[in-house]
Amino acid sequence: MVLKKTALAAGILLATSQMAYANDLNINGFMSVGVGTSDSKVKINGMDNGANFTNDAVVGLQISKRLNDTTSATTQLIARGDDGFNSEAAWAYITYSASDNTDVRIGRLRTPFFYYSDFLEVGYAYNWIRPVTEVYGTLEPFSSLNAVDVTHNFSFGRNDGSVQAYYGRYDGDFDLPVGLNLIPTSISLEDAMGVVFSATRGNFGTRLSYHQASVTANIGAAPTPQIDDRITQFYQAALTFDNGDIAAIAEATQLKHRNGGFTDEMGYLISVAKRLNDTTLHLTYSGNEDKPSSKYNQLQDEKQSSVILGARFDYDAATAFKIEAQHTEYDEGTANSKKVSGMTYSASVQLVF
Amino acid sequence: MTLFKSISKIAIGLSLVVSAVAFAETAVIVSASNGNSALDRETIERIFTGKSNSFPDGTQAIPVDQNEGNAAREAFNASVLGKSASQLKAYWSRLIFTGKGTPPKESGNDADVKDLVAKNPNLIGYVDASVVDGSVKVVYTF
Repeated sequence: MVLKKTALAAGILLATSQMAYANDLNINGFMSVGVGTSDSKVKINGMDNGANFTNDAVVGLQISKRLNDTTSATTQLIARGDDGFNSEAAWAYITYSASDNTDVRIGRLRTPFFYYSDFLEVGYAYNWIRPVTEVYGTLEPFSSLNAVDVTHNFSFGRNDGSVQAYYGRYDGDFDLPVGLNLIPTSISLEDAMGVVFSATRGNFGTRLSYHQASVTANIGAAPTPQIDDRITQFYQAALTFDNGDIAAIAEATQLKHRNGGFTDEMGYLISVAKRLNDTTLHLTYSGNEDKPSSKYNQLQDEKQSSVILGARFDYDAATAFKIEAQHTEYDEGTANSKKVSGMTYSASVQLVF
Repeated sequence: MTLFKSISKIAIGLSLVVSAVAFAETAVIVSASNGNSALDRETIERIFTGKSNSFPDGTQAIPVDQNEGNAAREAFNASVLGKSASQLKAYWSRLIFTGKGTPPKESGNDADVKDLVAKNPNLIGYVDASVVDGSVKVVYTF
């Protein structure tokens, strides 16, 4: 009898605590599935001339819980098809609201390199099937960082904006693309820091950012690191326009190393989109150029550019169907230069919930 | 006489229809105790897109939406925000997945929103103009 009562009491307790959780636990998710193919035997955007299903497949689940009036905990788990669907925590952080306009976050954060960094994998949030490789392929291995950041929102007159500053560290392994080969590299970014300024006024927006880190890297299986504690800098600028019917973005980036192991890189994209009821048509030109810095290295001068023509169809307020055709040209930039060009075609369904 | 009566009935009926059309207007409202009088479209858009979190007089502004599918919400999205439901969903998914913002709370229909807004001077909502009464203040109509 006593046992039964306890069980009942526990049941009630559980029911009430679940209700309390239901009030301040938020679950959001996103998903993309798609198929793509290219007319080239060489992989372009990770796709060969067969049917490729895993490249654009991604599932994300975000759980956030308000702990008290000023503090909340958020985690975002992401599983990517090109990574064997292994899930990883892209984000896991605690947010402390220091005031109505200032938030401090600590934990694993998305590194805010680009305009689309914060929602890089939420395909539903933009018109492309995937972020443009020529710009967003740069620094891809470092898209998440263990860091602390402060974001302050402000308004003056008709302008609204924010300033975000972060400080953190990254240690990891990645495959360094050299020409068409990949070389296993272990790297650490110490004193990784940056500042991001964004502002909007009416239909116009801008985002400017600066980042730097002290890089130590071991390329291939060398016994000692070839790059020891050298500064790398990254600059980014974007301008946006969106009046509901026509949207446009231009973004440019510059990566500068002070070492002989990596090449400096410049990337840019310009994209326009026109909405016709539930259909959005978009056209993008993007480019990327590796510039060996004469002072530090004589690596090759690679170039890549793409033209993307695509359409997005919104079936309902949370699901989009997208198709894209992309022409890519790649030039290795060596004396007997190896040039590759090809088309890729992709289709994808992307949703948020 | 009978003919005249039915004609006048039709006339009354018609005038009701006409006035209903004329009043199918949406009003953006704040509590009667809110210190702001008229707001312009851009200020309302900035509050409802999370870009700004205060009224022109500096007090905190919290927007409330009607439930998805309500006529007033569709009119508001199209006329004030200038975006389709999908565009707004895409806009908010840029902020939700970064922890940088959450969309206005869905708070029911015209009557529910009017009652909520009446009680809290920090709230701002939109309702069909027909439900407006002395407890709220109209700051914009479309």
